[in-house]
Amino acid sequence: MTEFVNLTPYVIFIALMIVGFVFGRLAEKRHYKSIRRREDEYRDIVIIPSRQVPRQFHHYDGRMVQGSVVIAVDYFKVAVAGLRNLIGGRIASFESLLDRGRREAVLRVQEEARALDATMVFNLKFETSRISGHGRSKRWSVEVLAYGTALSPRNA
Amino acid sequence: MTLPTGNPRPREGINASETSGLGEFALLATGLGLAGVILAVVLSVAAGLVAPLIPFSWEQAVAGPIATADIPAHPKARKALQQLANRLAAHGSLPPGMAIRVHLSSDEHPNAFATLGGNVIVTRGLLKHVSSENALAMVLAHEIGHVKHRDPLRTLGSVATFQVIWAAMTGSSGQSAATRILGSAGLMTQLKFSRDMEAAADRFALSVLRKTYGSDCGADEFFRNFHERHKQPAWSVFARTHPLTSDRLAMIRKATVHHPPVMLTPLPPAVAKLAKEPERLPGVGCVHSTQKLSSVRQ
Repeated sequence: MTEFVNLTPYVIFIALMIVGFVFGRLAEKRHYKSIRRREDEYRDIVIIPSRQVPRQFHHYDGRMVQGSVVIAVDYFKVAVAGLRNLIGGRIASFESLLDRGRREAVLRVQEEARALDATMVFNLKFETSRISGHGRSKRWSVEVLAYGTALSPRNA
Repeated sequence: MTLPTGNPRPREGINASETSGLGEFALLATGLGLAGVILAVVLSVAAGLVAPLIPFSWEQAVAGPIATADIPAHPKARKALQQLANRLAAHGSLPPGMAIRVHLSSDEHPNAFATLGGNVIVTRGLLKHVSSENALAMVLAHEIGHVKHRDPLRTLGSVATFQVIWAAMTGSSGQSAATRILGSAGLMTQLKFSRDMEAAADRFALSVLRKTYGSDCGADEFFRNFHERHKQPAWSVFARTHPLTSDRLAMIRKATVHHPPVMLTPLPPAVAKLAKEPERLPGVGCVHSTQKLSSVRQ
């Protein structure tokens, strides 16, 4: 029998896709705009991945700084990634998510470093982890943590 | 060592491409949709050729036992339905070894469907839409027709293909979806039969009805009641495989004009009790056992 094909799940899916796309895209554009503006603002706080602190900074104060950010993935990105998972290849929709996460985390490191009157951050490292939803849900968020050693000149 | 005095400006477009993803989605959806359609067509053609050769016991093994979570405790009504199905199956000359298992679901939405392994599921809601055994028999015989023609097996491949793509889009991996779908094949309620399969099942049901009751009285009752109570909103019936209830009603009426008006058989007591207050709308030219035959105007 099965008299009708129930359209409700498809309508919900399309609605979620539209909501995910519109708001996800808006959020991403706004975020990138803010990232670029603040990258210019914090340009003078130099990030150096090296572990070795050069001799001329040995009298600086070293303190740990960290920046952590959690970004939610939108429905549209998940759907695109789901299709991509069937055939393989770059998941561009997730790449931009991680790019935003890393840059934002660095910005927060720089913000904290500036608050400590530091001029540079040494030994910067990244950690990325997935914060998944409950049960089978694939509504992921991603956390990116950046941390390093801020060097500030001693005042005394 | 000289240290930089400022951070470099990151080059855009290396780690992340500046794209909305809309183009990628369109490409993926079209490509996979097309591949899915081709795969579904190939699978259903292949299944159509192979299905009659597959022993029914294999189909039963794939279906496995039906989970009883959805089945309410109405053993008497279920037994009455099972007996009715057995009677109809006998008149439908099913091949040896093919058995029908009727299940009663507590769903209030009027529906009945056949799934793998000869399992026919009737909802409680359907019982409220029939007033006579004849009408119930028409619905049951229709589903038995699907089982006899091996329709669930023939549509399994294409349905599974569609569901894998759908599951991938809505957030589970294709593999887990496939495992889940095939793992619970017995409860597969999403099987959509083609219009041809539906028409063949309707023809089968009418012939069984004639053999069982000597008339096809009551054949249109369920559809008419359903049609009167549930006007189908156009947006909800996109891509339907069934003809509209009204079309189907017309087809059945056309096929049943020559039936002699006979007494309709009342519903088995256990079923009638469960159905409660069925609407009394017997088919045109048919009489309820509570009415007199002479009261029929044709």
